[in-house]
Amino acid sequence: MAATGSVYRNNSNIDSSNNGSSNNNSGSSNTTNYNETKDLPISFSATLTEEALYDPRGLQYVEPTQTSLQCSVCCEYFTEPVSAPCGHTFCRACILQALEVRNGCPLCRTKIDPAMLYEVIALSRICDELLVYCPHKELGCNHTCQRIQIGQHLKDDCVYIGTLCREHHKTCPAESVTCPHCETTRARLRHLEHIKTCPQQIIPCTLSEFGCPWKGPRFDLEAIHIPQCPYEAIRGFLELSKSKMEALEQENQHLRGIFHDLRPQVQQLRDQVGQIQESLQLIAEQEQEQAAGSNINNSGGGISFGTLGGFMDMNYHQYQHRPQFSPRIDRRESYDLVSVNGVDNEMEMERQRASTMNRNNSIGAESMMSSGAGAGGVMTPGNAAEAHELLISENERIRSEIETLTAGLASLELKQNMAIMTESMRIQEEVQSLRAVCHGLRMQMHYLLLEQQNLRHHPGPPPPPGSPAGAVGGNQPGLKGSVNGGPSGDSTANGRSLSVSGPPRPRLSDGLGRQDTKL
Amino acid sequence: MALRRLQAELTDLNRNPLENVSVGPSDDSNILHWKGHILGPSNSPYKGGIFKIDIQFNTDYPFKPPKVKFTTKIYHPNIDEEGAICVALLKNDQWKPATRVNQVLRALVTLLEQPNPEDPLMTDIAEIYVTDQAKFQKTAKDYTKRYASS
Repeated sequence: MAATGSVYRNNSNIDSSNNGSSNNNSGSSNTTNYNETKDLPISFSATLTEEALYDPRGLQYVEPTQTSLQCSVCCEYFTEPVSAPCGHTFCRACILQALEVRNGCPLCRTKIDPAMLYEVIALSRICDELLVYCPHKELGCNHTCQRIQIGQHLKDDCVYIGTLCREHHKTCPAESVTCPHCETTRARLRHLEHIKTCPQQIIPCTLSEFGCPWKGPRFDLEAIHIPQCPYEAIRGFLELSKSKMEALEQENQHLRGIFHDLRPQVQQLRDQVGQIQESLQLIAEQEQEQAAGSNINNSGGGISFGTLGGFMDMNYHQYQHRPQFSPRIDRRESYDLVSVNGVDNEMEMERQRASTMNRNNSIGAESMMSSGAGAGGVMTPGNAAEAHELLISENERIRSEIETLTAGLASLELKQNMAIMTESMRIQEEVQSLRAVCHGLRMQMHYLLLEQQNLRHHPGPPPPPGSPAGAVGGNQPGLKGSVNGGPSGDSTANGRSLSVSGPPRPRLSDGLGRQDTKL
Repeated sequence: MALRRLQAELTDLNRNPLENVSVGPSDDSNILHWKGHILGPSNSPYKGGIFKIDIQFNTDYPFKPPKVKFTTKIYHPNIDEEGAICVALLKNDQWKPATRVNQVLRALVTLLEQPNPEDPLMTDIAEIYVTDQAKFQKTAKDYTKRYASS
């Protein structure tokens, strides 16, 4: 960085000036006399190693910057101002840095020889008297003083002087650290590596997580403890059970998640049941009123039975409607009817629980119904709970019916499948026999054609029957397809094909041959 | 050095803002990259346009000039299609470390007001600017309307 470079340059300047002016100094040799500002405006001496890192140009001023006292390069108050022959003034560090990049005044681009730069003492004094904050302001030091005195403050007064160093001290990688276990000393960076393998370090047994209480120096572990460790013998088992544990833990977590998901659904279902119960109660009350009204006119039995029938009808309708407005219930029903594929076991379990609950309810309802029937054979729908149970039992009945229907359907499907299979077997056999017949026919025709050809080309000796087809295949393009049949089929086909007579039709034979290859 | 000076310049710009120009670091973490807007000067065909500019400083700022370019398309003899600007102030060999951002911005506004056809970057536009001022005005206005209106 440019800034640090300039600081170092500053420091060398400081050293030389101190050496040169030490005789004149009456006070501390570290503080430069004010009269010696020519060499050094701020006494950041080499003894203050930490402070040497501060860029004097980085000081914070109490007053906002006045443009007349500002270096045009760094836009700060002049620090060690120097003037060029062209008359422009800059901080020494700024102008030197600028000249490194490009030789010319940063303001007017006149060429400048660095040796020609001269200090502006009066300006330097003015700037040195400006109030600055302590560089440790952020750490908490509220001290302000003239810029010339800040070095003194940092050296003697500032209580925050070592803070940065103290912080760094805790983690400095180069500091030598003594290992607390083996008493050897090395740099912190090395120590961090060493501590992992230090033979003297007290470590627990590697199987301590399974309960081994042993603790001792690292070098004892391998040599002495491991052969004796009772846990070492069952290490395999321990690790297996650990992995199982972990798997179970994961599963548990998974199940818990599912349970959480299901809880609102159950709540929703419960709410719906509650709503239905309420509406049923309302209906039941109306029914009761009607029944009470009609009982006056007619004999009670018939009417109440009729109303019960109507009531059941209505319940049935309601049941039918329910799945439409609540898909969740529908799903549960579908589980009861046929097992749903690809549904989580947990979901199934949950549903099963729900359905068994439902069943228990319906059993209770049935028993109540039967008891009601036994008592008088007539049921007066006055009780909402009773009506609800009635509804549930009706529900159950319909479900069992659907179950029977499903079973019937399944058996029917099975039967149908069997029938189709036997039928298709039969047809397959037939096709097979037909194919054999065709093959025979083709062979016979082939033979006849060969015969004919031979007679035409060699009228002398008659060829032997069933000569290889390949011999003449080249001359008979129309028969190419049939070559696939091969001469092996000849002998078997010849006998049978005699019964099937027909004119030789190469096109048909060709087609058959093709079919033959395909199959 | 660069960071402190930029901080000082930014403070100064916030205290004494330029007319028709707003500028600042694009994000707080990187003070070396500034973005800004220049309102088209009212005495130019760029009137009514808002031109975005992008300023990239180097760590060796102020010893090396910043890279300034227009990110809004503009019809100008000294600004090319990429937005690169031909202005003496920003040229490597003419840059002065004492030049400050507000001077650069002011130079840009002046450039919009008074194009410099003597030292063109877009020779064809410069030729039209010299020979057919009306056509130049019209095209520049068209560009401003098309690309620089919000």
